[in-house]
Amino acid sequence: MLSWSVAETDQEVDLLPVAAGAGDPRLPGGTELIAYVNAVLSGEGVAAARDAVAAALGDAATIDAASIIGNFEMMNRIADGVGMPIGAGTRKRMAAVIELLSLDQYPHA
Amino acid sequence: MFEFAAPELPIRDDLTEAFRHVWTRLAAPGTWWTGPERVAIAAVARAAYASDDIPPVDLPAPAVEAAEILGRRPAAVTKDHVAKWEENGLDPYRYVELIGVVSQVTAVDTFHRALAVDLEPLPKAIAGEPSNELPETPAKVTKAWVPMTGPPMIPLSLSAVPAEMAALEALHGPAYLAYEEMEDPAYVRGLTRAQMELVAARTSAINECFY
Repeated sequence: MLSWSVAETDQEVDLLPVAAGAGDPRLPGGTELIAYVNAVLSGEGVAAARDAVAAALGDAATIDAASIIGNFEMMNRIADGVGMPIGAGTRKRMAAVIELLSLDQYPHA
Repeated sequence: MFEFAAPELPIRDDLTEAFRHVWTRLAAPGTWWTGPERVAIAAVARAAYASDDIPPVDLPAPAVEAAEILGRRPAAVTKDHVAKWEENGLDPYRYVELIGVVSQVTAVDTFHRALAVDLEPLPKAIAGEPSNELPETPAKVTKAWVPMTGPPMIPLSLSAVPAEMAALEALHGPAYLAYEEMEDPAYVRGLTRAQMELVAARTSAINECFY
């Protein structure tokens, strides 16, 4: 979805920081957003990371980021809990991203 | 409930209402679990997420283990786990509802953690009997590990328990995007769509989730 939304809106993104957890993905506030997710899921430095997102992108963006992290904590539990299979079409469509981010190393891949 | 101790933050009304809906449903009898059992499942998942000791609860052992693993590290759940839980009495429909409870409570809790505010106390359970409602379209196990009413896909992930599927959709919209909004690559709320997907992708990467 990230690659798709970027391509459809004539933007560029570097996906490697998504997997690495650090670096500049080349989206506005991207560095701060990645650091925020890291902080929330590790429980370390949350307030500082939250404030950095607010400084870079504003309060409404911070609320969005917080709720989206929560939403994907939910969706990840559902996908993994039900054993959602990854279809051949998805694998083919995402082949480059799967290789770039080593997604095949994930337990449910 | 969900008054938030940080009023300077512009928390959207639809988000607060969605959280209240989750808590109201959590306390009430579900489809296969009673209100006290649903709150107990939430308590186990919450403790597991925080790596706290699992509280003593009145739940079957497979349900405690399932809530614990899903709460702590969902990528660790395996097909063998699910089969073992079923062999030991955790009916697939009860397991699907358990996934719904754990995942929704985790979403709400994570929002609080992300804003560095205290977690909302779990609600007081309401007495009553589960509805035992089955989906209109019979659910079957195909390529996923649990029954669904159609081919395995996220919009049908919890379809064996219609009330949990509806609850997921009610939270998914305010917390991220409604399904129809997902078709718009240029959607903007507080974040642009690309920024939203960056947050989603990093969260899934940490959770080692392909989704």
